[in-house]
This record gives sequence, structure tokens and C-alpha cells, in this order.
Amino acid sequence: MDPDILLEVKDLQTTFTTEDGVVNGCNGVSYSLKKGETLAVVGESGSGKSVTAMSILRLIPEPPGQIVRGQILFDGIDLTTASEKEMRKIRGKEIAMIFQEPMTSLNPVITVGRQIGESLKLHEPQLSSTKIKQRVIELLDLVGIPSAEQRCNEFPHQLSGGMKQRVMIAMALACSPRILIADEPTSALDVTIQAQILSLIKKLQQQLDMSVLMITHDLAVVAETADSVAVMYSGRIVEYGAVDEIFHQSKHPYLDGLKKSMPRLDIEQEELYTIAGMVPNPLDIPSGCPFRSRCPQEMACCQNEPPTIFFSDSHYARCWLYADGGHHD
Amino acid sequence: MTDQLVLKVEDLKVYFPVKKGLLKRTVGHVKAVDGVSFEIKQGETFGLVGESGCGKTTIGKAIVHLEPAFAGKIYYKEQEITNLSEAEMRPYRATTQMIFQDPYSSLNPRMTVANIIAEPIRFHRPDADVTAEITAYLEMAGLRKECMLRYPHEFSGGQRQRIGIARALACRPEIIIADEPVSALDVSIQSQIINLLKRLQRELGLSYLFIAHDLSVVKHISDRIGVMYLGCLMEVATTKELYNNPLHPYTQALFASVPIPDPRKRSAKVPLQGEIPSPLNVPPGCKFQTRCPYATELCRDRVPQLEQVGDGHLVACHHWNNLHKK
Repeated sequence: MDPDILLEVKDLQTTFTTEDGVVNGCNGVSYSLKKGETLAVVGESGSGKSVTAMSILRLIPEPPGQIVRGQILFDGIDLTTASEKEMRKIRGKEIAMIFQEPMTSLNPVITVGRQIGESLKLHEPQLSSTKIKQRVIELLDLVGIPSAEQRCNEFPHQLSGGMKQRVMIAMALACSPRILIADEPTSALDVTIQAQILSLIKKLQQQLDMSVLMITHDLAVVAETADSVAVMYSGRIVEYGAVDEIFHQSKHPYLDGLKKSMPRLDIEQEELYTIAGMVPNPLDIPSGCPFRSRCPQEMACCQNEPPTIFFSDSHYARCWLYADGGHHD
Repeated sequence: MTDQLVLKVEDLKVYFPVKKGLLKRTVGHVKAVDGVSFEIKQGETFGLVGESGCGKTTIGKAIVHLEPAFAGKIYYKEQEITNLSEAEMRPYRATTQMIFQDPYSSLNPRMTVANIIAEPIRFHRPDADVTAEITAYLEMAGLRKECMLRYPHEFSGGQRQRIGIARALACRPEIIIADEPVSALDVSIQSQIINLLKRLQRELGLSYLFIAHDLSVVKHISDRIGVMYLGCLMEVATTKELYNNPLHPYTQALFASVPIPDPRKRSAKVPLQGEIPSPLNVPPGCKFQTRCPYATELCRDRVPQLEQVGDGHLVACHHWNNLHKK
């Protein structure tokens, strides 16, 4: 393994058993996160971007969920087979997560100070309660919450949405994790607060030398924060590359369509481009390329599993358009 | 677009009483909308943008009498409709329709699509050929007529939003108040709905009050835009003028906060510090002064009024002229 790689997800498949059948949350997903890097996983709802992240922390409810295939390598341990005891040492200490909805992810009846201190208490039991309190105040300061000493005795409902998200970040950073998973950290926030939170995450990442796995549906947030990008559709990665390759040399028709259908502030557009149809029902994903029913360049060979074509060391797409055998009709 | 006004709002105020104590005495007011004026011409789209809690949704609700106006006037064409009773309001109900933000909670889960759309038709035009009309409105909204007998839970978010649009169209409205109609949808579905709304406007000559927090969406659909902050309009201008020449520091900061989907245009700076103050405790003078990088003594003392600074360009800032020169 490349010594720079901190976390490697290999051919991960997570399924959910429902009354109507087995659904693939993610299917054959592979990516790696380097030290200090920000990897963005982008996709629409149901594309499996959160399922992969939840699988890393083993937060998938089992049953109905199950990791059926693949490996998640972190520090020489395969997280897919690690025991619950081992996982507990990793969660919050080595890999921490910020959830999408700061409004519902905090416990409403416990002060924010105690909630932040909880993971310190668990992972560093030798710390005295005064030390913990001190550290909590430092953390609140770090994430830019004014009058931290007073704030740590407040309850979540006394804080605004942006402040709650800062508390969530402080909580995640409590044990100085090596990896921060941010699941749509700004989707519930206003645009001016979003800018503040994104810049805060970036600043802390440099300060604490963390790697960030940024999960989002918003391509603009990706462009603003990521070093590498994985684009997901129907549980699979359809294109992967460095951020500049994704935005300026994109290959997959889905990514192209997605980029063209965004209303933009910086350029003039007449009619917006639309991707026809909808995301396929996860119970009934078409064979071969999952995007083919909506793809303007669909070919006969798309019914077969698309090949992975590399355009550079870091950039690949899974699409028949670029295979030797593929040609336009 | 024609020059005829279809909707005019004059100095509208919507206040919510704050009650306290055993006797629930009113101890103060949350001024959700505090003196807003604007007008919409036939076939025009007026966009309202602002952060959450700025009062943009409340304006929409006040126009259709879902919230009572505390003061001010609302006109539909020449007719004042601010304080009409339920019965007097009825003829005007059909003229102004709403499309709501959340397509999951704005459709009755126990009604079929046909019934959802038939209800306004039966109410407003009892003699109409209901089935034919349902089919026509479904088609207009881009749904097949086979959808008629199905229930809302069988549809995706984008399709549900189309049902909501068909329901609004069934009243044959002239004005549609669209309250964040695409913010709950995925990007690829969002563009379908925006294009649909634009097409319907062209074909039916509809006027829109388009309420959203996403500046790129508002820019794309609106002819004119009003920027709101804490219940007041800070700046009003045509879309082009506003984007090329934003004068209010808040408008400038808002635009600068929007992430651009191009990694080569990354900017490191955070344009606006702090958060929107609580509407219970609004700062004196200019409401934006607590976050404004250019605030002076004057801003803390006096409330700036909206003043005309160009053709149809209004701004409420004491210093716009000096900032402009810089």
C-alpha cells in the first residue's frame, strides 16, 4: 500500500434487505484517501454516497443492512471485519463524522459542553473532568464560537443552525481524528454560513493535518473544497479524478449532464440543460450501465457492464464511449 | 411581459405577537415583514432572496391571506385585497396560487392525483368537464394521464412537484407564488422543474413571485429581484443590473458567498462574518449594521430608506454612493 494512503475502500458492496427485495446501497465502490487530502464523493439522493461513508464507520444498521463484499483498510485493519470493540476505538478517535442535520444530530437534553466532552471521556479516560472542561472550551474557541465558557453550558436549542454545526465540528475534532467524514455539512445552512463553515473545515484540516471525506450533492461545494472527486450514480462510481479533471475534462455523460443542468451565477444561460427521466428505482437497476436509460449517447453495448477507462493516473470513467470497441451510432 | 400591474404590495407589515406570562400578555412583536413594497407586472417574474428567517415566505403567505397583514396594502390589479373577508376574498383566490417547497407534505396522501387536481376545478368552475381538464393540466405539467388514479406516495419528488404545479394551474391563476419550489429536489430534477415553470409562463402569460434562497436559481428565472434581510428589502433591481452592479453591501456579500462550480475560480476569503440577528432583537438603525464591514455611526442611528439610484434600481444604504465609487 502506498504509504501516503490513509484509508482505502476496495470493491465495497453494501446491501439492504427490504420487503420488496435486496437493494444495493453501494456496489463495487473503491476509493482511497491520502494524508491531508480532501476527497469529495458527489451524487444525487440515493446514489449511495452516504452508505459508503456509513459503511466505513460501520454505522449501517444490521439488519437490514449488510456489507457483503469488499474491504475497508485503515491502518492495516480491515474495518469490514473488525470487532465492535475495535470499531469503538476507531470511531470518534481515528475517524470522526459530521452529520448533515445539526438540528437533529445533537441531543436536546444534554448541554453542548457535555456532548463534546463525551468522546474525550471515552477515548482518554485518564483526563480529569477539569481537564476535559478546559479542552471543551478550547475546542469551542477553535471552531469560532464566541464566549465559549458560557456556551458550553447551553443546550442545543439555544444555538442557531450555524452554531450547532460548529458544535458538531468541535465534537468530531475532540480527539484529533486523522480522518473527518463530513456528510453534507452545509446543505441545511444559509449560503453566508455555508461559506463560513467550509472555510472553517479547510482551516482546521490544515491546522490539524486531517484528511477529509466530503460527501455532498452540490458540485459547487466540491469545486470549492476538494482535491479529488468521486462521482456516484446508482450505487457506483461512474467517474473519478482530480478536481480539475472532473470540472474541465469530464468524460462521463452523467457528469456532463449534471454540470450543464446547474443554474450558474458566473455565466449567462438561456434554457437549462435537463437530464431526461429519473434515477432508476434501486430495486430495478438496468443491466450494464445504470445511467443508460437516461443517457443521450446510449449504444447497444451499454447493456453490458461498462469498462473502466483511465485517462490519467488519477482519472477514470466507467463508460463504453471510451472503450476501443465503443462507437457512436 | 406587459406593463399592466397584477400585484402590488405597499408598505406591508406582518408582525407576530410574542406572548408571555400567565395571562399571555403581548410583550412585543416579531417583525417578520417590516414595511415591504414591490409590484409585479403581468408575465413578469419577481424573485425574492434572502437567508432563512428574513421574511420572504411570510410575504408570500400574507398575499394569499395565510397570514394576516398587520399594516400596509395588497392590491390585485386595481382591487385592494388586504382586509377582505373570507367570502369577499373567494373570487380572488383562484387568481393567485401557491406552489410549496416540500412536495412530500403539500399533497394530501389520501387523495388520488385526479382528486387533488379536480378539487379546485369543481370549486371554481362547477360546470367544467372535470376529467378532460385534469388530463389537460397533467399534460401541461409534464405528467401522463395514467398518473390520475395513483396516490402521491407513488411519485418521486420531482413528479410530486409537477402535481403541485398542475393543481395550481387548475385554478387558472394569473399569479403563482412559488415558495422554494426546487430546493428539495436533486440538481438533475431541479432543472426540469425550472424549465417547466419558464415554459408555462411563456405559454400562459403567468406572473411569478419566486421565493428562494438559492441565488443561482433566482438569477436564472427572475426578471427583477428583491434582496431581503430581517424583514426589509435592502435592494431591488432588474436581474442583470443586480448581478452586474450590486450596490448594497449585503447583496455583495451574498453573491460573494455563493460557491462557484469551477475549481479554477476558488476564493479563500469568507465574505461575511457573524450571523443574522434574532428577529426578536433587531439592531437599531440599519438592520445590517452588525455584520456590515462599512458600518458607521450614521448606520447605527438612522434607518436607511430605499432610494432610487438608477432605472428601477432601489437600494437602502446610507453609503451606497461612496462604496460605489470605491
